[in-house]
Amino acid sequence: MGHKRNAFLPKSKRWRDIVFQISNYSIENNNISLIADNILENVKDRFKLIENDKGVNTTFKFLLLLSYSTRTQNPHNFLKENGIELSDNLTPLQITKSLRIWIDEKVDSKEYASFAKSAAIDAISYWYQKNEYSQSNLFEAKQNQFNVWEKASNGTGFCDLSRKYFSKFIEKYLKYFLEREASSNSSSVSERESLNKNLEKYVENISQHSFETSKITQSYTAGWYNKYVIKEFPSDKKIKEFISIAFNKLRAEFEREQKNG
Amino acid sequence: MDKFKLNIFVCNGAKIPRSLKNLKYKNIAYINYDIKDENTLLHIGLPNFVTDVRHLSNNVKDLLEIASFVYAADRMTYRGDINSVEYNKWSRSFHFIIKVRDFEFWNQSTVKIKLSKALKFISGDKDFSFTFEKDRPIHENDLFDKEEFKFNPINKIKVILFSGGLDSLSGVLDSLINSNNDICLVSHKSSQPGITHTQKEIVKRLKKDFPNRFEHYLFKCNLTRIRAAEETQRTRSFLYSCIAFALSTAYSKNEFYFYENGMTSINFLDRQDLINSRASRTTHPQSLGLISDFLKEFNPKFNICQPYFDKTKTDVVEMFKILNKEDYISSAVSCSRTFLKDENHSHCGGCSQCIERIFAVYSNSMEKYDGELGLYNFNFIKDDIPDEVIKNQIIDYVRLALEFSKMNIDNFYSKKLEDLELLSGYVNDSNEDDLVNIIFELVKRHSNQIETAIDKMRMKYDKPFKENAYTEKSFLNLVKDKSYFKEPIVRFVEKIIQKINTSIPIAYKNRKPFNENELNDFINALLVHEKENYEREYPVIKFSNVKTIPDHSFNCTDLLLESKYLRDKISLSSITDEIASDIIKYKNYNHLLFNIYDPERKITNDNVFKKDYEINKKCTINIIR
Repeated sequence: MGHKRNAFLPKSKRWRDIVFQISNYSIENNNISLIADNILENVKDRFKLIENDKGVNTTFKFLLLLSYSTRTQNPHNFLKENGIELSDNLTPLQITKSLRIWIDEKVDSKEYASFAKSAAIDAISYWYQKNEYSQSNLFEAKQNQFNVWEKASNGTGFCDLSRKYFSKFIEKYLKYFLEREASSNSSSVSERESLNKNLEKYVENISQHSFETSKITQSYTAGWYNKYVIKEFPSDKKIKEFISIAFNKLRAEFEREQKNG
Repeated sequence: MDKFKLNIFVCNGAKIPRSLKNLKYKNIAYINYDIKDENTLLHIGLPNFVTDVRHLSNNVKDLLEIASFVYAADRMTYRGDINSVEYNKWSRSFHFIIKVRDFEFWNQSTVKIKLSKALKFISGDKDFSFTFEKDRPIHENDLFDKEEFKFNPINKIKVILFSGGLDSLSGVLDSLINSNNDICLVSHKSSQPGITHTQKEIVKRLKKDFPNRFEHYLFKCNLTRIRAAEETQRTRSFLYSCIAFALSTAYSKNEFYFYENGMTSINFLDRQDLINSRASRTTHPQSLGLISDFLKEFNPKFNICQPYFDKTKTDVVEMFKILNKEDYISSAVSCSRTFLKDENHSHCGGCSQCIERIFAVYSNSMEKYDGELGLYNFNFIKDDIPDEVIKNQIIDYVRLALEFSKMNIDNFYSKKLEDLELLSGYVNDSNEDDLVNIIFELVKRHSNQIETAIDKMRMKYDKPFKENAYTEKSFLNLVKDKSYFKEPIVRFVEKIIQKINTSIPIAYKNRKPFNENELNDFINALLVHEKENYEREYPVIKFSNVKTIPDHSFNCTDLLLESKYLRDKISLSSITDEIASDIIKYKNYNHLLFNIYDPERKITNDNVFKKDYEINKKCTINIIR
């Protein structure tokens, strides 16, 4: 009871190099960009699988359906027709429950599906925090419950929501490797805390740069939404293409940051 | 990537359908549970168990076999290396084809769905599916059909799962002292003799202290003739629950009890690699809820009770104090790696269960009933932590408590949404507010108790006048500076302040700087090697119609530094205005540090001067003299 399975990074040189870089990390020597870039380099072959993974695609489609639903006359019905059952009390927790039920049977790799689901939940939570700040309690229901999702049903809103989803996915994927040996290579609890905080901040900055500052991705994302989503809900093929491009752009941004670093 | 194989288990002489035979990626294994068969791969200690109970219906007998087959399959199917790149092998897919006695019952789709749902959640596996066949062969002298039974059902009996650890022992004592129930304890007979010995010793003592109040059932279930490929055994709790259910049914009870504290039950992830039940969900409220839901197919009134869910481990240890049974603590064994302990100790002292117990004991100041009796192989608090796995576990355990300590109820809700969703509907919560309040209160209490424990560890070992009170690789050294409570940027700012405040008074001891520019040149020289991306007079920031440039900046942390030199005719009010103006102009930056050189002590009260600026947490005022 209360067991936790031990985990280690592979024993090959390229992974041991990363362990060495983690052990070199300190509050003064913030080498997180190097560590993140090298991890992504070590798993670059996996991204093709991630992009094609049913769980990853299905989860992103859930966010897309949710934002698109506000453009329909009856969002509840639209979502139901697409297999998403939402309770009348539309809170972040209830949406999380619907997401879990919806993707439960649509999984290839359970590992990727877990990152995707967690990333989507973080994106949902972020969206509520950002757009419902006037509420006294985050978990209180609103009268027009779909209001908050209306803001995600245009190019700009969708760009922000997808940025959060992809950045959280990458953050979780990096932590999946990093956290196996981070604590054992830290000299103090402070240092370990700082490693995570810097990683989160680094990924957030990269994603912001990629999706907001870099006009290429922003206009691509907003353009894609305006072209393929606003009039008619996009096909699974189109969604898969978008996911592939979004991941590629983010990865390129990590590489660029490291080279320029 | 590894192919997703289907693991097919053909049990009790069932036949494998052609559709499954032709699958490309599959493993097929045959298990028969026939006590007469010398070649059986599975040994279940059920004979001793069932001869003790009165009558089991056919579907319950089937249940015990099915649970045993699942457990055997779990142990026979490897979940991959702990140093794989990705853990894709961890989540397996199973299909069982089993001959049963009560085909009508087992072939109901609701039964299959509920069984599969419970097993998937508990194990983190991808799929469990079942095909049942009729006509399970019933041999002469079948183990479930013996007529002689020792035990007479008693009305006021309570069935409790008993591991021999602190939580279940506390629950047993609580029940014996505070109720007039007789107790029926159900234990798994471990392959590790030490654990069985512990359970027997506790029972011996309980029998002495509470004569004629309880019975103890030990059951054994293990593979024979083959070595288990997998040790994680996530489905063991399902088997354990089915045995307890069978016993409860035999006693005509509608419930059994699982005593486990809420924090251990939830088992929050403290590392990202622990997804998919690699942090076990043995007694997670949803696990128990799903098992209960499945068992309701046998008896709609059936429930699994978890009376200690609202407690933390520290609360459980406190129960021994409340019950006046502190001296039982040392007899309970929490350790999950007893094979690592040496012969003089009962606990390894470094597994997650030992760590949790040590913190709980310190939080209650009850070491004299535990660690001081020499239960542990080593003392990680003051001595070297012997290996990296233990160090990982200790740091991650403390980090989680630290994370909770910083949360308010709103950010707890948004950050732990996924965990809360898994608990929703399973913790006596009638709505979301209830759920969030129950769990938030629990994690906050836990976090405070861990902080108290660390405080007490410090007080015990970190004596102000004693040198080398703890080693460099000890836990106390890992937490000696409390800077983990601060943001990295704040720690960096503090470091710069220390450097500037030490150097400037020395450099300008005999002569003050001619002007602010000279002061900035000196600060530039101090900071230039401090961190990458340091810049002097950079970046250019546009504000309204004008451009402005900070004196120094660290782009990697979004930190800007401004220097002010209070001298001669420069008034305090002009400096005050400049700072206020800079705060507005640089509002988009992460942090602002104002270094105010005040050799003439124009600022009379430093705290009053700083207070109004530092209300904004992104601003630090450093006064240098």
